[in-house]
Amino acid sequence: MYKKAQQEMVGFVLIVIVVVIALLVFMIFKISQPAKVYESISVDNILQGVMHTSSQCKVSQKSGYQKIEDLFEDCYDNKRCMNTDSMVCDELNVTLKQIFDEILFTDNQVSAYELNTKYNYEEDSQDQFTIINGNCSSKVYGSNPYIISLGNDGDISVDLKLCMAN
Amino acid sequence: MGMKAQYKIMQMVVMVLAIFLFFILVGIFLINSQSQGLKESSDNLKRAQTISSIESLANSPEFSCGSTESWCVDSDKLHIMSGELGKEYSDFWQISSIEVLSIYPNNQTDVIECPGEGCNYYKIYDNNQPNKETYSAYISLCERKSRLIVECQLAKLIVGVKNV
Repeated sequence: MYKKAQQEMVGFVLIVIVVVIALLVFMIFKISQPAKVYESISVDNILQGVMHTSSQCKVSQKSGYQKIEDLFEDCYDNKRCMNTDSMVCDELNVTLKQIFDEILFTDNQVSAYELNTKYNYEEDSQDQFTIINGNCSSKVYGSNPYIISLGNDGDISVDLKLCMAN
Repeated sequence: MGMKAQYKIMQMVVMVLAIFLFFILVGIFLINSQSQGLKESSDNLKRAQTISSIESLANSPEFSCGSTESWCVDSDKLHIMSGELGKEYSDFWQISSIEVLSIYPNNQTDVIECPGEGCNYYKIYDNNQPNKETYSAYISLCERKSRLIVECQLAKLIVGVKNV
């Protein structure tokens, strides 16, 4: 009788151990997965608005201030801003940071952002720059890539991820 | 012997109950995650509909830059609409309020109503509805400086609707 009880206890302990291991494996799998990025039309709307915003950079005396979208092309061509005497790439980086920081400050739904730019030519893809700011504790929403064509030289794709409260 | 059989039956009942409870918990977990996904897609749909409605407003002849570009609002039209003309349209739009807040470039920390120097906020109209909910989307607020030069700010078009 005593031996049978012992056997049953061992069986029970084995079942508990198996369940705990299964739970641990599940938890580790869940934690190690990268944060899911939900597609959102709001993020597309923000990215489109930012791309059409004028910067503080003029690339020729006669032209007006370049739009952010055009600055990506000018940055690829290694141009300079005539009015500030700085490189377009530096100006682009600073302006994007200023705009997104302003969005972070004024839009209480947005708590963090990540902007990634990639240069694509045929099958090759090369990261250009990434701008990140803020702390994320809620869901991450992403945009569809915004494509800026460079003609025969390929294109630049811009992705935006925002940490937003519902 | 009878006692032992009773004990065995009890043991089996406890085991069956434990398994039953376990599956109930798993079921609750699955239903919960499924309903969360459903709520999420409903929220996304609602957001898409809201943004689409705001886009139609921004693309209407009263606000749009007149180009093929969507989400482009003409700042000169906004100046005119934020005057007395905006109120005339209240029956036409059938919404509680329309406001535009400039986001970038913005040298002001406070909200300064237009017209005025360094202003960053346009109130097109507001029927002072006490129970309203606001929705917003980002637009390009553009000003034609010359025949070829157009400069655009990043702004937010805020629309108020009656909360039902």
